[in-house]
Amino acid sequence: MAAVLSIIAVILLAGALFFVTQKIPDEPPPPPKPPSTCTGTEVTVEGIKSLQKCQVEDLLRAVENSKPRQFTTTAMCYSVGMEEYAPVSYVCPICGSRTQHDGGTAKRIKENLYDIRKSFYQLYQGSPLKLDLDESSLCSKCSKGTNGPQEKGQYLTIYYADGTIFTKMIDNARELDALRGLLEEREWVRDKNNEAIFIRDKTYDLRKFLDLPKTGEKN
Amino acid sequence: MPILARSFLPSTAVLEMTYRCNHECRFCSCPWFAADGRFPCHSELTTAQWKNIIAKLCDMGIASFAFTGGEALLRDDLFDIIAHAAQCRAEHIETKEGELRTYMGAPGLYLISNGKLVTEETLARLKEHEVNLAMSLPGLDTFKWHTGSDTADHVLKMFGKAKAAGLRTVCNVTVTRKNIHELYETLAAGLIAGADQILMNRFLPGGRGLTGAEEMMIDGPMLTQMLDIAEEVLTKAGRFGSLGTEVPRCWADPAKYKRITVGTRCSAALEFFVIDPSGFVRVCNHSQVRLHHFDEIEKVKLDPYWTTFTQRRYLPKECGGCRDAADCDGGCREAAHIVGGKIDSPDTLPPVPRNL
Repeated sequence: MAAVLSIIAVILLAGALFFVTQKIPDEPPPPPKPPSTCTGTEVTVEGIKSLQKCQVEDLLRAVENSKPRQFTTTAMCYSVGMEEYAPVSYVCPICGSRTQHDGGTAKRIKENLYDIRKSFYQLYQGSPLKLDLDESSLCSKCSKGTNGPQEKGQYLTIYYADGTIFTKMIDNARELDALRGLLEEREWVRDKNNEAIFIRDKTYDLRKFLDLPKTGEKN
Repeated sequence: MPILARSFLPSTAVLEMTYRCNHECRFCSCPWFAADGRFPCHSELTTAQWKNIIAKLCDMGIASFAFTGGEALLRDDLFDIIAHAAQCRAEHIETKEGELRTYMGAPGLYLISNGKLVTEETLARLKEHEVNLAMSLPGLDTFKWHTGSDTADHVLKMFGKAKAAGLRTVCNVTVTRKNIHELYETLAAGLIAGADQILMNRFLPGGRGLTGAEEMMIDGPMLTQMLDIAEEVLTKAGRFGSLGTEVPRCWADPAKYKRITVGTRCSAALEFFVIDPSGFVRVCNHSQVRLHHFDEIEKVKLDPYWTTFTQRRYLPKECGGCRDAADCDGGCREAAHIVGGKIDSPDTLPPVPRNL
């Protein structure tokens, strides 16, 4: 009896050690490329090398049609405390000027500015979609005299091959991480907290984010 | 509405008034005290030059000045310069009733001293110009070992006199492997003597402190011990304090401490900068990189070394992928630079793998 208990204890201990020591796996390699349904004639605006909207649609459709996979993840709760935000300095990377912000913009700068830059950099490298990140609305000097956006923040611009240009303010880096996952045709990617973003679960958000029609809607 | 600052400079200027000092602190990070002479001294600025710089800095939006050195009180003209600064007008920016507002007022003034030359007359003159006073207390029994000078008695006495004079004071404690055993007593002594706040600094190699750094450098468990002690003392005293030199977040969770503020982000070039005794701009007092002379201050704005700090392009590769990277600079970047040879070298407390 004691021997059986010892064996059970060893198995349990080994199991526990496995969970303690197991590393978060690397992001998976892209699966084989699905056949393209993008049959439209390629229209490229001179000087812009980018994906067509329908090619991005292809990527989304492939993910939406894939089988859901069961993952076990540990739930993590964050307690978000709102506090009075002191003025926050934004130092422009282009002109070096310093602009003081408060309120929601200060909060965004403090919490997301560097994360968004980092995620954009990862996304931008080798992206088949032509992209741009514009922070000039945060710099009072660079935005002076321009018809910049009302809301101050970091704006992602997407240049589709057909000449469509779409601009959107980025709220957090996860949106960019998800887009990277889609463009790299991965099943999931890691965000800054090492948590997995499953692209299949994000297609609705990605459609909104990319200004593409929801599933079932027509262009 | 956002407000375009008057210049690219952060709102606090640390003015190193002189290279000279009347202490020989083993832990001193002033770069010109490095034994190998890596940071040569040039001729010091004159009274008129300092006054001119202070006036220009006020025009550029600087709202606080910290006078330090070396030992700033060794300059005979220090109070002449302080009086000039006190009558300048500086733009202050603050959030009031949910809106950013500016107002003009006297700049905030601070004197950072080792305390040796502080007398009741000094205190009266500081009070006259509403200067806040910070004095060093690197241990009690180990005071002489650390400073090469006297005992802690005079500094403790002056904290009491400063309180009586109505001055706000900060007790600066540099924590080393040699004085951590008496940290509780040191912090308590400073507060009991009359200091309003505690500012702790972990010893970081630099300047004179490059010699014999190993016997002073604290490790990770000592850092935790130091913060726990400070929290306990401050809780008992009902006071607050802060850790002046940022630490890697993987070594100290700021949320754990209620009384001591633990910084994990470098504020060099973002919240303060330094002008050295001969007028050269540096990102912080630890830095041994002279950028440009104040006469060419506009060149600093897009200087690659400066923008490395303003854009935080210095995170060690060892911290890449860390979940805390957005709120942590991997410790003191300049100390890491001095020790490791590169601005993105790991801190003397290397990253803890659990966060990677």
